[in-house]
Amino acid sequence: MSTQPPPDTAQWFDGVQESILVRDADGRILAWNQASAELYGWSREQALGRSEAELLGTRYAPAEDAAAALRDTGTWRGEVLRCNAAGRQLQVELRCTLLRDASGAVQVIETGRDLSEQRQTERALRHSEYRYRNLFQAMAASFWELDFSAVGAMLQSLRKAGVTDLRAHFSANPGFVRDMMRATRILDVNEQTVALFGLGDRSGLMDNVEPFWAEGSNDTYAESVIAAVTGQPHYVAETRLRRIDGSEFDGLFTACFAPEAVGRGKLLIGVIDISERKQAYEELERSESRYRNLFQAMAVSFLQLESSGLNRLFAELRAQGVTDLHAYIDQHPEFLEKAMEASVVIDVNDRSLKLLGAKDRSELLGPVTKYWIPGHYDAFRGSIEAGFRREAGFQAETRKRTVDGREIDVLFFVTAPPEMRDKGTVLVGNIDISEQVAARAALRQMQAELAHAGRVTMLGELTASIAHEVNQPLAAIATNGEAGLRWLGRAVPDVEEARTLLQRMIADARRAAEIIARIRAMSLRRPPEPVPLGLNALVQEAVQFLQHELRAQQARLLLQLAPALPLVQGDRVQLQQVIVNLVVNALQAMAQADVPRRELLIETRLTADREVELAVLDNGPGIPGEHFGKLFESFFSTKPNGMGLGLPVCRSIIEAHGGRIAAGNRDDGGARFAVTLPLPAAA
Amino acid sequence: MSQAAPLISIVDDDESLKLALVGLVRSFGYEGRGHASAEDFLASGDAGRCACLVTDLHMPGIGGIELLQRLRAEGNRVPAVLITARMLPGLEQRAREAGARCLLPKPFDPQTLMRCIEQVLPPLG
Repeated sequence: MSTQPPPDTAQWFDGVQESILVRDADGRILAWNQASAELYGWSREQALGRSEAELLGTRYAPAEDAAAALRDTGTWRGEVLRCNAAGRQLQVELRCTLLRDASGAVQVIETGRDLSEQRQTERALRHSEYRYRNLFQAMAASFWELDFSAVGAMLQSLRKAGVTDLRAHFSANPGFVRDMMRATRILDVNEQTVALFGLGDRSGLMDNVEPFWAEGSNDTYAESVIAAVTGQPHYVAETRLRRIDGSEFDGLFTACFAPEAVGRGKLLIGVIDISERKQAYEELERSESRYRNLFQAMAVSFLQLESSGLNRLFAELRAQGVTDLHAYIDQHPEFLEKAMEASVVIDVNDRSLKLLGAKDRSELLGPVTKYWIPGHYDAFRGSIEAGFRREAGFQAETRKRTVDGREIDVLFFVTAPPEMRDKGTVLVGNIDISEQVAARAALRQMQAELAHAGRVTMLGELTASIAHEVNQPLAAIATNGEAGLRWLGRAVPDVEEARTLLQRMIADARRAAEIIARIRAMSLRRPPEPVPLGLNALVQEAVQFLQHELRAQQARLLLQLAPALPLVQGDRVQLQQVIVNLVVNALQAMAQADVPRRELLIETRLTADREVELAVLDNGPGIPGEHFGKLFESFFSTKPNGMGLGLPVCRSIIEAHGGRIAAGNRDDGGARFAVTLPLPAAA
Repeated sequence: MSQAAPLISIVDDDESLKLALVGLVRSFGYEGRGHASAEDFLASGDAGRCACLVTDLHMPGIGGIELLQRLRAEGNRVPAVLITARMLPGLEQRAREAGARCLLPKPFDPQTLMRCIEQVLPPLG
């Protein structure tokens, strides 16, 4: 007999989504709703009257006495396993109530819910939660799950109080910000957080976030709150955070404001330890500061130049097809000053102040034009030509101007590796070599003095020869003059004769002047003037100078001069002095030994080592063995009245020309003095 | 001219002075002939013809003094004037011993030279 509910309730009965069944004390099914049919797969007709246990295969959890619970308490709730009509197992959550009908018979009314799907969902959820949790745990970032609903309440009260500018309020009320931090509760953290913030101990990480924000980081926290309430999707900032022990470190703080989560007052925070990155930056800063210290401390004046302007000038030239800057500057000398204007000093070290005569750094900044002396642009020119060729360095000795108006001699060098130059940076150094230059100048002065002394001495030794040289033309002039007067003094003046004589006189006067000029040149004290010289021509001139001496000594002179001998660079007077000196020495040696047939040979040639050699050979007695070591020593002389300056001075002159002088004996008697001079460096 | 002018021989290796001296004596009305060396002079035969010899002392080859010595050894007693660019000590002595009438240093006053010459030669009319 069914007890289906009356028609209205029948509609409700079948409308309910949960399975409802009613059974009697024996478990026979008395009522069966639509939802039960859908859940178990048996229609009402099939189910009514059947034993519930049998039809549905109900199985309770072990040791579960549902029946006893029903009798005692009148209700029971639990999960059972059942089978549906298709044989599939179901997990059903049952809620049972004991009822008595009108006649007092027991009835159990149960509602059942299929947990299977839910279970699946739950499982899936748990599974994804598990995955999430794994990820959460595993990430090298420190993750926090936070509850900031209390903060939300605080903000609400602010708004109610009329605060519209949150940022200003936070800024003015740091205590409020710390309170917000205290109101931000920690729901969960991952292992990385425990490691990074908790130093391995989870216990300190279960309350609020306030301890983990450094005092100086209020702004960041405040901004993150503002980002959250203004609907930003996320917020990222580098900030200073604190570990549980109070030690601080730099972290990259990221907050994710997923709308659903924010709506529930929840928040996911990530922190990445960027101490290492900071460390790297600090190391970079330290090395930069070491560089700066070096820059500062070096006993060399360093100037840092901004050279992008110069780079641009170079680019313009290259675009015009210029490949040889040297040639370009030859044609456009004004480019040098343009280049100077484009090379700008932007930093200097302390030493520069001292060297360049400045009291303040600012005096030294700006274009380099002020440091270069017109007429002494060679080193600057060389440096930009090297730069145009993209060479990494350049150095040259030069003279520069200080800002307090002095001129100084420096070793000027440029350091500009191409990468640095491309970025528009060039480093210039100046090493003060004034002392060195002064010393060298003094040395050259002394050498010039010595050479002069040598010449004077030599001229002294040649006095007679010189006198004769000069006296000849003078005598001729006087003689011609007298004769001319005679011709003109006749009753019938012989003008033709007189004219001839006058012509001869002029020629003689010129000859005398030349000889005098040569002697004066020899005797003048003057600094050496290097010019390209042909050694053969010098030999000829020296021989001219010694004409009479050779004749007087009755010496035969042979010249073997190499044709097309390359030019050397040197001072004409000084090199002539050497040649004359060597010839005079040879003549004197031969005279002293009273050699009957005196022969002199002067030869010039280009050696295998590409040097020019001039040799003076005589057939005198040769150089005694014991004299060899002293030959070139000052004041050593074998002559009775000799001053012994000749050969030392010759050596000094030749060495100043970059050459060598050597003495030796010939195989068949006599001495050989050889002078070797380098060819000028190839252009 | 009534008679041939006396020949004065000039010996000097300096071309310019040699010409000047020839010109000088000619301007005084003498005949002059120059020789660039003592050897040339000896070879020329003028040694027997000249009335006076003016010779430089220092010359390559045979010098002035040696020239005189040679002439004297041949019995040639032609009057000689020695001129020199270098006055060395003892030179005057040697010049006199060689039979030179005068020894003149260069540069000499041409008047002085002519007076020397005229001492040894009769003046011209």
